Amino acid sequence: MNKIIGIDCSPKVQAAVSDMLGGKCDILYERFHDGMIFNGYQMIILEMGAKEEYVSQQIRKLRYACNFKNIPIILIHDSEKDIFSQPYMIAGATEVLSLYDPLPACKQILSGYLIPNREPLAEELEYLQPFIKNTCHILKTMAAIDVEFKEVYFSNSIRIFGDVSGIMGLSGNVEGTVVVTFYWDLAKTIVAKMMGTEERAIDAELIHDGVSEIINMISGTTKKEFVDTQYYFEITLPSVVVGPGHQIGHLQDTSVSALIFQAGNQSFALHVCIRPKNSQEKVR
Amino acid sequence: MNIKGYILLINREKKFLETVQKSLVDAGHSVLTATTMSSAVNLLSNNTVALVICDSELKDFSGYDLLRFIKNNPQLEKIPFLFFVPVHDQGNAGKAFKWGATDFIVYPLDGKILIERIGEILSPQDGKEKISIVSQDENRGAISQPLHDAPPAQKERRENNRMVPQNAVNIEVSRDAILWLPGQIKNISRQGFLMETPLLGRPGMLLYVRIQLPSGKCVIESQVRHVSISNHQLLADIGVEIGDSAAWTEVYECIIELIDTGRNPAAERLSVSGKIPDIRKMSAETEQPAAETIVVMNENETMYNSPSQSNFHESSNGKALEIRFYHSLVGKQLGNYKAVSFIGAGAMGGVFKGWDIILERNVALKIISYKLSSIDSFREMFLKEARLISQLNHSNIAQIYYIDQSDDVFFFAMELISGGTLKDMIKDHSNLKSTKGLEYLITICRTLDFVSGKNIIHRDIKPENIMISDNGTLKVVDFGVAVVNDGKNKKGKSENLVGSPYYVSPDCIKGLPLDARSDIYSLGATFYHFFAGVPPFEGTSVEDVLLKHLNEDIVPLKTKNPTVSNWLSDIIGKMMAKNPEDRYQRYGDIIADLDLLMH
Repeated sequence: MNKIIGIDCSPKVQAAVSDMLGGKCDILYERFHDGMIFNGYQMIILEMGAKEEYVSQQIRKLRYACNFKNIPIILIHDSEKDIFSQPYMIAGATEVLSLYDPLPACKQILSGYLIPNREPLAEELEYLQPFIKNTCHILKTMAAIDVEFKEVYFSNSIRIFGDVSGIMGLSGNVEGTVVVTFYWDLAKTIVAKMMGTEERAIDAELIHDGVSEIINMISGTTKKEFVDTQYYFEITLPSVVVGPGHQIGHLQDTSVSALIFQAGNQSFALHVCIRPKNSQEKVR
Repeated sequence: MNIKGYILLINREKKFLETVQKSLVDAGHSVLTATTMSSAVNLLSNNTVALVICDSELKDFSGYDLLRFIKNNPQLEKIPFLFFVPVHDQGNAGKAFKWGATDFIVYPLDGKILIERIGEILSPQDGKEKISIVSQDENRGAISQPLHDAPPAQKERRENNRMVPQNAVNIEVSRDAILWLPGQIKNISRQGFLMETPLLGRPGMLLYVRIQLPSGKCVIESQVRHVSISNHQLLADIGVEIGDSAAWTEVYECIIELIDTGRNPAAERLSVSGKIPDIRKMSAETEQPAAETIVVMNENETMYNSPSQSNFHESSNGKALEIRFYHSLVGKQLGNYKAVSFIGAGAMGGVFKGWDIILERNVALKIISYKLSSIDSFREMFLKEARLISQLNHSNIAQIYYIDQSDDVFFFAMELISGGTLKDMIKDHSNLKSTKGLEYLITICRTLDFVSGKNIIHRDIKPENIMISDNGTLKVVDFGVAVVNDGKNKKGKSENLVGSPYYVSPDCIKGLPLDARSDIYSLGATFYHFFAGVPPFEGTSVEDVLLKHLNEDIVPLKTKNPTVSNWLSDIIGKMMAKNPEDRYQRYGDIIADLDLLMH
C-alpha cells in the first residue's frame, strides 16, 4: 500500500484524491508546518493556497524536507483557469493539476508517479559505479567527510533543487553532463573543510571555487577509469549554478541517473547523464 | 592617492566599519567612521569630507535621511554620496539618485570594486570606465538626472548606462561554450552589461554570451567584473565587461534599439538549458509527437489547423496532460520491463526505450494513451490488432513481443530498432538517389504485400513509419491504427478518418471502406515526398491539404525532380490515382513495373 500525505487539502480536494487513488493508497492529511518529515511516503499532495509566493515557499520547504529523495510533490488547485505553473515547478513541484483537468488524466499521472522506480541496468551500473566510488573517495580525501551512497533513481531530465550545483559537460566518446548539487549548509561545511578554514569565513566566491573543484575532481578521477572504454570522456570547464529550481540541458532520449549520497545527517545529489556517441538510437 | 578630505564611512556594524576602514586606509585614504546619522552629522560639521559612503540603514535613522540632509545643506551638498545597499534594496537605491546620490554598491562587498569606485568618483582621470550596477526599478529619467558635482567621466558613464526592462533581453551564458545557462540583461552600457543569472562566476573569469539577433545567433566573449549574490536562494548579479568588437557593437545597438522602440524582444527560447519548463504550457512544437497522425472518431470534432503540427483531435491541454503522463513513467518498472528513457509521443501513445528484465534485451515500449486505454472499445481494438500484428512475422516489420497492463498502464513491448527513418533521409536531402530509393520502394511493396495478404491495412504509411536500421534493413513500424479488412465492412459504413494529412488516401478522407489500395496511395505519396523532397500536396491547414488530395491533380514527380525517369514518375502517379480503381490493384503489379525499371 502506497503512503501518501495530503497537506492543506480541503474536503473537495480530499474527495478528488480519494476518487483517484483511494483503495490502493494509505492517505494521511495534515496541515502544513515547518519541520515536516516524509520518511516512508511515496507522494506529497499539496492544495494550492491563494498566494503564489507563500505556496512557492511551502513547496520549497517540502522539497528541502524530501532531502533529495525522489518524492513527487503534486500541487492541486481548484481553479478552472489555466494556472501558470512555472513558479511552482521551479520551487520543486513535480506536477500541477487542476480539479478541472480530466479525472482519467489526473489518475493516470498520479498512478504513474506511484509506480515503483526501476533498478539500474547492468550497463548503467558499469558507468555509475566509478562515479559513486570516486564521489565518496574525493570527499573523504579532500574534506575528510565520510559519504555514503544511499540510492539511485532515474528521470528524463536534470532538475536540481539544491542551493548550489557544480556542472561538468562531457565530450569525447560520450556526450553528457555530470552535476553535483548541495544545500548551502553542506556546501559550506565541505568547502570549509577542503580549505582548512572556518565555515563563517566561507563566502560565495569560495563556494564557487570549492564546488568547481569538487565536480572537477569527481569527473576527472572518473574519466581516468574509463580509458579504453566506450564511456571515456573529456571534461570541459566546470560551471557553478546558484539558486534552486533549474533544469540543466540534457540529452534527448537518454535517462538521467540521480545518485543520492549521505554526509552525516545531510544529503546531496550527483546527476549523471551519459550517452556513448556510438549508441545514439532512434527507436520505435 | 592625493585626495583632500576624509572619506566618511557610516555603517551600523562596527566590525564592518573596521574591515572597510582598514582596506581604505591601506589604499591611501583618510577615513572617518560613524554608526549613526547623528554622529555622522557631527563629523561632517567638524571635518573636511570628500566623500560619504553610507549604509541604507543606520542605527538611528536611515541612510536616505542622511542623504536628504546633506543634499539640502548648501555647505555639504557638493559632497559625493555613495550608498551600500543589499541586492533586495536596489529599488530604493535607485530612488536615491533622484535625491542626489552619486552611486551605489551592492552587498556583499568586494573590496577591490569599492576602492576602484572611490577612485573613479574622487579622481576621474585615473579611473578606467567600469560597469555600473543600476537598480532594476530605476527609470531612465532617474539615470539621466544631473549628477550634481559628479566627475565628468562618471556623469558620462551614467548617461551611457541604459536600464533594460525586465524579461526584455534573454541571453545565454557559458564558461565553456558547451553548457549554456540562462541570463537576463538588467542594464547595459557600451562597455558591458549587468545580468541576472544562475551561473555563479568570479571576477576575471571569461564568459561566453550568446544572444539572438535578427541576423542570427551571436556569441561574444566577456570578462566578469563583479559578482553579487545576497542570498543563495536568489540568482547572482554579474557585471561583465566586453572589449570593442563589431559583434558587440551590433549587439549593443540592437538592444538599445529594442529598449527605445519598446517592442517585445524576439529573444529566442532557450533551448539548451533554463528554468524548468512549464509542461502544462508545452505545445506540440516543443514536444513534437513521433507521428503526425490524425484520428477523427467523430465527424463533428475539429482537427488542428496546421498540417505540420500534431493533428490529434484533442486540445493542447489534453496533449500536455498526455505528455505529463508519459513523463511520470520515466524511470519506472512496468511488469517485466524497465522504462529507460522517453523517446516521443504519437497519436496513440508514447514510446520509450525499455529493457526486458527476463530476456535481458532492449525493447521499445509503447504506452497507450490514457485517453484511449480508458475506453473499453479501444482497449479491445488494440488487443485484437496487436494479436494480428504478432502474426506478421516478417523481417521488414517491427515485431510485437508482449502486451501487458501494469498499474493501469497499458503497453506493448516491441522490437527496438536502432537507426533512422525515411523522414530523416528526406531531411538530410539524401532522397534523390533513385536507385536506392527504388530498392526501398520495392522492399516496402513486398512487405505491404505480405501485410495485405493477411487482410491487414496499415492506414498510416508515411516516411516516419519506415525505418532503416543501422544494418540497412527496412522496417515498417507503427501498426497502431491498422485494421483488418475481413470483408465484414458493409458498404456505406463510414470509416474513421485515420492517417497523416500529407499521405492520406482520398478514399480514407471520404470515409469509404478501405482496402490495400488505400495503403498503395499512401505509399505513393510517401515515395513522392522521398524522391521530390516535398510532399505531393501542401497547404496552410489540414483541411487545405485534404481537399487537394480529393480534388487536385498531382504535379508529376518528374516535374519536381527532373533526375527521376518518366517511368518512375508514372508509377508514382498511378499509385496516387484519386480513384482506387485507377490505381495499381496489387503490390505485385507495382513490383513488376519497378523491376522493369531496375533492369
